[in-house]
Amino acid sequence: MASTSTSTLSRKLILKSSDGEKFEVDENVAMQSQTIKHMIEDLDDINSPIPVSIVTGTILSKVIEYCKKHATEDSDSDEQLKQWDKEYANNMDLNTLYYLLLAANYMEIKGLLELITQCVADMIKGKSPEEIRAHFNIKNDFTPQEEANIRNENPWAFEN
Amino acid sequence: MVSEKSLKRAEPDWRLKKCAKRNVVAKVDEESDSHLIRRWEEMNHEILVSIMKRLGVLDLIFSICFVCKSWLDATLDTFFPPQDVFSLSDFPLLLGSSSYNRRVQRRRFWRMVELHLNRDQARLHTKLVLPCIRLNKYGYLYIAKRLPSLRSLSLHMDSLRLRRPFLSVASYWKGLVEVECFGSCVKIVSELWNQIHTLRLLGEVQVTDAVVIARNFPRLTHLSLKKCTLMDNALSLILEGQKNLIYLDTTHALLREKNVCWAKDWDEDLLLKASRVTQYLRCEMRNCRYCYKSYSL
Repeated sequence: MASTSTSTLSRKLILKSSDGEKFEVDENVAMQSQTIKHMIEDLDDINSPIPVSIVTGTILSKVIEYCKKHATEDSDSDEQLKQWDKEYANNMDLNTLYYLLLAANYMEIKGLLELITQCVADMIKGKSPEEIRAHFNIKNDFTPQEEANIRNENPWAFEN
Repeated sequence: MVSEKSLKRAEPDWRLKKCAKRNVVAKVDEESDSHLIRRWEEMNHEILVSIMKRLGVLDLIFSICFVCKSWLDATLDTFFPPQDVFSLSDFPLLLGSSSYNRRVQRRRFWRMVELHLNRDQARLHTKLVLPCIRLNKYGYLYIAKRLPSLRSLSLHMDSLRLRRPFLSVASYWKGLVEVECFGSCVKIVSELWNQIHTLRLLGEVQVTDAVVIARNFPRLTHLSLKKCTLMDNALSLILEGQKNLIYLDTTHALLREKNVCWAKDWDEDLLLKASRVTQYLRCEMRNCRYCYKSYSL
């Protein structure tokens, strides 16, 4: 196994999304995902599709787009790659970002997870709670009393 | 595996129902139908925390904690991770300026501390690292009552600030066995807790402190003097009094005599005494990369 994975001829793997869509990718592309890397280590027959159970086809195609770009990073300078990352993240709507986060977390793709968490963090930065709720369509589930409790500006036990 | 598959098969029906309710045209693409089930307040907790870690303290204390329950939880976990250590020492916000803005910020941060301490998981903390600033006298009590299973305490403050507030809290921490403090605090620590078996000292250890360590810690087995400055015959006094040590660390510790700025070389006798401890750690002293500058040529 170890000797084949270092060979220059890249093997093909088939990834299968939760909704049954199949994607053929180069092994080095798929190996960006630690989860898949561990899966194929335990796999006898690498020609059978590898199930990526919680990721839909739409999202998986976006994940593969990222992995492809980063599998061939030698061709681009760091600067270009960063620019590409930025555009890639900026082109996603909130829904896609949400599922990309879950996918990157599940598939253990560190770079992608970092990229998307930073992108979401940038959206939150500097916003008021109301603006955040509106932007992310979040329901305020605090009762007025609970909210007052968080707001309580008198932590008498601590302030000198 | 089987259950997973059946779950997937069931999903589309459920989505269709939702679509029908909202009068959405039957055929919807993947993007818009996932819109129906995405909820940012239900985002995986670890992912939320990693997003929060990329945000500044002010965003967290003034805004994000108010968004919803799960985001408040993630905010508190960003400040105080669910682990055995509860540390208040790495927050620059607590130090320095007493301008109006800074006071408001500090008050909000303390509110976060209170909210965290009142969560169930706070009771799991067994190690406490206190900030080097002095808390209000009720502050120590507030913490002490909520951390009943404390075993280890780090105090980075001088002895003058220690005695009064700690007299009232010592009884809450009966299980305390490990203390990290300045050499000057050992007397007070020994008066407050009598079960201490691990002592990690910081700063200078005077002869008077050494006498206290030698006599007043009957259960001491682990002693770290890492990076300490040991005055005169302090170490020798400690070793004579503490015969039951099984762990001693003098890495980067320096021996010094009063009014001499250079470190003193270790004599054979002292080294022999120290190396009788089962596990003894030390550096290369004069030849140590970290210490050599403290010795005269």
